This record gives sequence, structure tokens and C-alpha cells, in this order.
Amino acid sequence: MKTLFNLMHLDFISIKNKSLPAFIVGIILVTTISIVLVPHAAASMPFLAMGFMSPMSITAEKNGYNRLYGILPVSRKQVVYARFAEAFILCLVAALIGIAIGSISVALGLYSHLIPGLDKIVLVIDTFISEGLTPAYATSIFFLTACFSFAVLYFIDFIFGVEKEGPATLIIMFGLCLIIAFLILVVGIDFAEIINNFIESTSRTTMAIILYLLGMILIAISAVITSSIMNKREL
Amino acid sequence: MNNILEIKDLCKSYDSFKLDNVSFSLPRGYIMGFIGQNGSGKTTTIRTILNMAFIDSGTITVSGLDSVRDANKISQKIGVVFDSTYFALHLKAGDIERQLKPFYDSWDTAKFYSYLTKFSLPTNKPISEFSKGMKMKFMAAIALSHDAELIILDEPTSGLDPVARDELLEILLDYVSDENHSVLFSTHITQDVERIADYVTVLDSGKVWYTGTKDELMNDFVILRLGNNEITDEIAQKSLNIVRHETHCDALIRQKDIPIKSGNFVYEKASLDEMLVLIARKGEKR
Repeated sequence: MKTLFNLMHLDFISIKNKSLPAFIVGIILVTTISIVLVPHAAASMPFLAMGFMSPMSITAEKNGYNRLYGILPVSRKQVVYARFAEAFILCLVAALIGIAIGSISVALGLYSHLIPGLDKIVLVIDTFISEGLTPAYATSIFFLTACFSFAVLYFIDFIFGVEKEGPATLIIMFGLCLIIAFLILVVGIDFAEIINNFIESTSRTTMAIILYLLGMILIAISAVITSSIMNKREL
Repeated sequence: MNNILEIKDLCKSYDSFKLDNVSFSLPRGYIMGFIGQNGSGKTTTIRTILNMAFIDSGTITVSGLDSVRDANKISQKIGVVFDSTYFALHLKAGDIERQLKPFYDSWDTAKFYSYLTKFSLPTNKPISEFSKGMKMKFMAAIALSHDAELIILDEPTSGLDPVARDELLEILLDYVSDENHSVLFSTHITQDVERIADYVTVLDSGKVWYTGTKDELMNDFVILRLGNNEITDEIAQKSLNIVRHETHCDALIRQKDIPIKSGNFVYEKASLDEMLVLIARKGEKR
């Protein structure tokens, strides 16, 4: 566990100069928009986490970190797990910040009242909130999306390299679409209906918890697959 | 003798290259020059020592620890200097120190900064602004700051100017003055090996051509200059390599193997450079 934290610390120092200023500006911006305009804007915090971590793979690859990992007392598995863990932790922290800011914004009730002529927006926001689509709930959707993106991108970056990230992402996403299309058209599974029924029969809180767990599971599965492949590779 | 590094029957195959039963050992407290032409297998051997490349068969032990089973423990005992950096170049020396320090049980921050001062390395500039010599010295400072018992250098002097090369070699000599420290020094600049190495291992096409003391290698082998029609069966048999030129032949041979009736033969001591050339051009007609 100590080694994982050391690796996360190493990564953080590697990218903090590049990412931290933009991350802080992003948080201030999203917070302002959330308080002043739309509370649900706070839900996008996990995407800021993605922005923060985005230079990591390219920094590692460009600077020959494989050789650094080769001389440090760490295993290949630990390198992979640390990278996925830091992505997950950052997404989670960003989501918690998003929930807090969104909730504060709703509690304060200042949104869209500060700017005259936005009554329609206020009405939509209030309807969302009354139906349970709170900023906290919206954050769980963004959290799942960010986790899914990390799960796919880190797998690609480790296995194929950053240079092939674009084409590899396209191929993987196309593959996923084909599988879903196969399930819908050939097997006859109606995903839309299943999801609708599930959402209607599940409380918003339960749904949010499921989305958080799903995000965690996606990252965990990707980390296990990636590490099992990387463990057989030379540095 | 107490060996810091022992490699026994190391085999490692790639599609177009293989290490073939590589065996050698480095006694504690000495510097070994690890030489051979490009592609002879030096870097692959070093990568297997560091467990960066997987071995097919054979064993590697560092300070009695197995290179695969005890890889993490070995990493604590080894300092490495590659031919190019492995840090984020936009970082400063202090950032990199903070990155690496937590990984090593015996990391000494004061020692690290004392090396930076000793090597005249600035702490307020990113590594990208360092010259190649400064980068090498910076890697050496890191390798020396966690009380490593063995420093491994892979072509560290390639591309360095003579002053920077000299400084790096001085650092290594200073490091082994404590008899507990050892150095494995891979290079194709044989003058560096002639200057600082106690032991030499010569690799040729993935095989160990020679391993032993430098003095023995330098004293034992000579280049026999012969006319093209003077090569007898005995000389051909005993020569390690013969290179045929238009007008004469050069035969690399142990001094003791020179035929007794060779009064007319001219021979001279071979430098490591000449040996490498003769090894590489075995049987070649020039």
C-alpha cells in the first residue's frame, strides 16, 4: 500500500505544474457557475479530474518512465494499480466536491436569481430538483462517465501507448457499439426499456449509489486486465 | 571471493538476437568494464539484472539476492545511470528528489544535495536545461544517494565531452574507494575502461568472449602481424581471431600461444579497442 501511495505521489509531482493551475481555475469557474447560474454545473467536477490526469500518460511515455519503474523498487502491477487508483480517487474527490457545491447552491437558492430574465431556467432547475434530479444525482452520472473514460483510456495507454490512443479508442468504442447492437438486434434485448424500468423502480439515492459502484467496478476490472497484461511485458 | 554480482548461464532470446549462456561475476569493491560492440548484448544483460527484461534461463544474483524473486530488495541496493534520463524533464532537481525519496529505505537527502553541490548542478533549473554531462551527473547523484552497493551504468559516457567524461569517471573512482561499493560499467568507449576498470567482461554477439581482470586481458593478448602466406595451421588454430588485410594479417592470440619458432613474427600488445575490432571482424578480409 505504501508503494502505491509513493507511486501516486510520484505521478502527482510529475503533472502538478501542468495540471494544478488549470484544475484550480476549473474548480473556481464551475463553482461560480454552479452558485450563480445552474447548480447542476457542479456535477461536471469529475470531468475536471479527467483534465487534471490527462497529461500523465504522455508525460510518463515521453520521459521514459518505464525505465524509472525498472530501477525503482516497485512491481509492474503496482505501477498499473497506482495509476488507476489515483484516477479513481481523484474522480471520487471531485465528485464529492461537486455534490457539496451543488447542494450548497441549491440550499442558498441564489442560482439564476442574480441575473434578471432567467425565470425559465429557474423553472427547469426547480422542476429537476423536485423530481429528484439533484446536482448530487447528476454528479453520479458524470462520475460514471469519467470512470468509464479512465478505464478505457488507461487500458489503451498502457497496452498500446499514447500514440495509438486515438485509433485504439475508436476501435474499442466501435467494438462496444457492435456488441450492444448485436444484443439489441439479434438477441432482442431492449436496453432502453430495461433501463427505464430500472430507473423508475429505483430510488434516486439507490441509483446514485449504483452508478458510483459501477464506476468503481469498471475501473477495477480495467486495472486487473491491464496489470495482468503488463505483468507479462518487459519494461 | 565475495561477489556483489553473479550471472550464471544467462540465456535470453529475442527474434533477431540472443544472450547465450552469459556467465560472469563482479567481486565486491571493484569496477568492471562491460564492453562489446553495439548490439552485442550489454544493455539486454543490464536489463535482465534489473528485471526489466525476463530471463529465459540461468540465474542472476545481486549481493546474494535472486534478480527475479527479490527484485524489489535488489532495487534498494542498486543505483543505475542510463545513457539518457528517465525523469520528467520539466521538473527541477528538488522535485525529482521528492519523487524518489519515499521509495528508498536509505535515501539521504543531505547526501543528495551535497552531490548536487559537488557536481555543480543547479537546483533552480528544470532538468531539460541541463547539458548531457549535467544530466549524467544528476543521475549519478541519485544513484549515489540511497547507499547503493552496486552502481550500474549503461553507456554513460557516450556523447559526453572529455571533461564531463573525466568528471564522471572520477565520481566512480571515488565511489569504489569504499571497498564495499562496486560498479558495472557498460561502454564501447574502451579508453574509459582501460582507465578505471579492475575487471573486464567482453561480450560478442551475445556470448562472453572474455571475463576476468583487465590486467590479464591486456597482458595476455597480443596482435600478431603476419604476411598472408605466413599463417600456419598452428597459428590459425590458436588465434582467437584473424583479420585478413590486402597485404598482411592481424591475429589476436594469447602471448603464450605464439609459436616458439616465431622469431621473425612481429607482435604488439593489443589495446581494448583493437581487440574489439578484431573480435568484430573475425575472418573478414579487408
